[in-house]
Amino acid sequence: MVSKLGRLAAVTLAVAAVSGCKYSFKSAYDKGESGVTYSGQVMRHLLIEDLVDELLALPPRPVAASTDVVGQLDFYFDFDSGTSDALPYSFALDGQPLLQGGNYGDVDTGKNLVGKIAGNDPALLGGEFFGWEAGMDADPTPEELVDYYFAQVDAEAKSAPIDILTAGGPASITTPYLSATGLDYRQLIQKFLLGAVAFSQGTADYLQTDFRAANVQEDDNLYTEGEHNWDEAFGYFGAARNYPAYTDDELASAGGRGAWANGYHDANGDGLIDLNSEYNFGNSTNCAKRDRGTAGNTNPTEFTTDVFNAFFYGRFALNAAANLNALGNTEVVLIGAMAEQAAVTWEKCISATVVHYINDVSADMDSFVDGQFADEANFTDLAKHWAEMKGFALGLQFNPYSPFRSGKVQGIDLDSLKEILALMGDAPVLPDGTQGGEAFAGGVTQYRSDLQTARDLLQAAYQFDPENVAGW
Amino acid sequence: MALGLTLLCACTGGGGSGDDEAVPVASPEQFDYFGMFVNLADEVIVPNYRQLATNTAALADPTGPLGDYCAAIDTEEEAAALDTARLAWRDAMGLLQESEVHQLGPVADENTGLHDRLIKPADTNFSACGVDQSVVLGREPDFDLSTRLVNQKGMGALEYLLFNESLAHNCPAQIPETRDWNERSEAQRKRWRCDHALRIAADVAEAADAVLQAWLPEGGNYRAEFAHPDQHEAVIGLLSDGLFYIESDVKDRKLGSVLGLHNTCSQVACPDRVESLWSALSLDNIQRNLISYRRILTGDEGLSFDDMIASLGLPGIAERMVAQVDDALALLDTIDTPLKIQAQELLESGQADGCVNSAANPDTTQTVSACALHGYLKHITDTLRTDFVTAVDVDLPDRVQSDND
Repeated sequence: MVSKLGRLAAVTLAVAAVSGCKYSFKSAYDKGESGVTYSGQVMRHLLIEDLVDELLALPPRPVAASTDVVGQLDFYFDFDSGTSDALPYSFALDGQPLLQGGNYGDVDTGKNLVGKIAGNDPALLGGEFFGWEAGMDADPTPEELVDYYFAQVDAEAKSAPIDILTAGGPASITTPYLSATGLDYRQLIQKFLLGAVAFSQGTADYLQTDFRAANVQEDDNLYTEGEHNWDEAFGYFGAARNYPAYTDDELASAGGRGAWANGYHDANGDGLIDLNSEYNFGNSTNCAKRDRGTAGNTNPTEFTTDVFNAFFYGRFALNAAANLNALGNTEVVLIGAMAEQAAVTWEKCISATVVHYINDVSADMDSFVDGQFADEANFTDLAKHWAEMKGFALGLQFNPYSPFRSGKVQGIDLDSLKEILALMGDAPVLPDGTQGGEAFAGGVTQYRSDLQTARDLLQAAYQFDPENVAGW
Repeated sequence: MALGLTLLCACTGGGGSGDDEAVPVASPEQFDYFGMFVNLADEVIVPNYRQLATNTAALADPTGPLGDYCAAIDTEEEAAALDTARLAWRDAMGLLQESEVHQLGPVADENTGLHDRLIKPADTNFSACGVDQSVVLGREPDFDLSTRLVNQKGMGALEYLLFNESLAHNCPAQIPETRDWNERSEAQRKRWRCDHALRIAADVAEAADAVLQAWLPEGGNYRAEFAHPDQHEAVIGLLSDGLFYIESDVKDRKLGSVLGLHNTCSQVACPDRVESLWSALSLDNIQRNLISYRRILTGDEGLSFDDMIASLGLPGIAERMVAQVDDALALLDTIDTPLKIQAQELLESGQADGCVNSAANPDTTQTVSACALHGYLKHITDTLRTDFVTAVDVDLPDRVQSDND
């Protein structure tokens, strides 16, 4: 039985360990040291970033038939620490040196993406993966979808340039990761991995921890199992430790103070950016972008604040529990509530981004001219925006706290999400009224309506303000 | 395939089931646990390690079959020498497979990592690229095999180097060491691979010898710790955990995940998950696993679990377990089509029904023989995880707590 005095002492220790409004917590086992670590999650974010770099670096189509495009992409997805720790990563910040050395092994070792994709770890929620039909069998998995996307990139890259008709005349597109059906695989791959690896791991694995049972020191490390699991979820979210110190513009790399304006900041002034604490990866930037999109509205969102507070207070409680060596019912309830708030707000950042890209795709379709693309950019923009929309939307199925699974929103269930993904289909509808090479009933007009239906469902599921939805 | 069981004369105890029902059995209180452990150590486990050490040492010997093959490359003797080297690998692999069912004591000590030097852990993927990279790096004077990960070493890496018919590397373009590999001459690539095979064989042999020495009285004498009359509950638990290799690794990993009968394979079949991808000896591995399982269950002619269970008044359980493993071994004797081929045919057919039926009714439906084998293995493991653990009063190992067929 832990006395009130003991609880007070533990909380006092935890408070004393907190330095400002930062995700910074001293170890209960060595008060001089930080108990926060998640380099494996940083490594996986970096692998996704480098995979994108690899896609962007592919030469114009057609690339040589002998090029092992799939192998080059699998290098990151199925990263082999044993062969590649000594190789340099491509991730870089313009003119800004990093604390981590230049090789993968300097960031972390033994990490890859395939081992942590939904379906491999953890198991698929409800035992199913849904929302993408093309190229899949009756029992698809996220890993199989990534494999399919890689194979499609290989095939596209080795094909002739894409010829399209625009209002300004014919255009020839040599981008290797685009398809004539309007798919941007570079965007699909990146956004899908953020959902199927980072979001899935954060919400369906680490935030699902039995935190009462996990309030024990993990081996000889400076943290409890619960603290570390919480940190790993935070690492997948991707925020810098001093996330609240950034403005939304800065997190979105859209302006702000000079030293903060690119989504990172040298918080400790050592002249180096520490990827483990001073850079904002992945979905953490989407939250800020969507908050920016509602600034000045009647009911602006506060996703950045809501999600960080949840991660912060949950970790605070876990740190207190570590100091106390006990976790009471009240704290368990609090931590559970913070886990849910973190996961749901994280998902709102993603779903609001899906809404944003529905709006972009709709605008792209508005630009069609007499059954043709307005220009080449109209085609590439449509492909990019659609792929971001679908790639992010597929990720919404990986969170056990999702409103599509929780039953907390009347009229919304998993079928609602399946309907949203089905309405999007596996490709955009092009100016000629085709989708994925097949005639689409009702053409562009019907597809625009379908996307609005999908947007309405998202608005209902997350109880978004209509003004925000319209403006995102 | 013949069982190949050597019925060793046991100096450490009598008993045995099968035809000896008339022989009086001891009561639980009187059961000679010490005799059982001495029998298993002296007649099953240590002889297995001794033979493994001998065979792997021969494989690593520069003047042995592998060294002979290296010397014969690009000569008229190359093909014959390769066959001999492959046979030597096969013999050693068979012994290693037998040892997999008694992973206890020194070989299971994670601090020494001996097991993983013999064969990579089941939960890691083999890195063909890592081996290819090591082949090139091995030409450097400061190359240190101990710094390479376990999924690039052991008997699996040797198999890749000896049996893979393709000399092309398996690395992505980002790996600098292998960029010019495919342009090298065929003879050079064979020589470099063979040289690296000798390095790996030496590491395997060293690990096998270390395991053996750790058991021997003149070495680490783990035998004395194992065969200790005061620790029979703990040792029974270790042995029981070892037997569950048949479930976690043989039924689920080596067969289930290959044939689409385990939830780790989401397709009709996953042929590339066979254990021995290049030698086509995956079913031979399973045969040796089962032979070892049977020997530990029965102790050959000496005391073991069958006698222990009989002493509890439940001889029928052990008899059923022996009959079940004999069913599986008898079926294995009739299978000629390698596991990978069977899995490929399943995948190409797109139909899982035939496999599922064979697995569910192995006595009557052996349309897909490997799937029927899975069915027989399920018979074994169903008894193992119910009647056996109840009779000998042990817990299920963590790794088989849930059944994911």
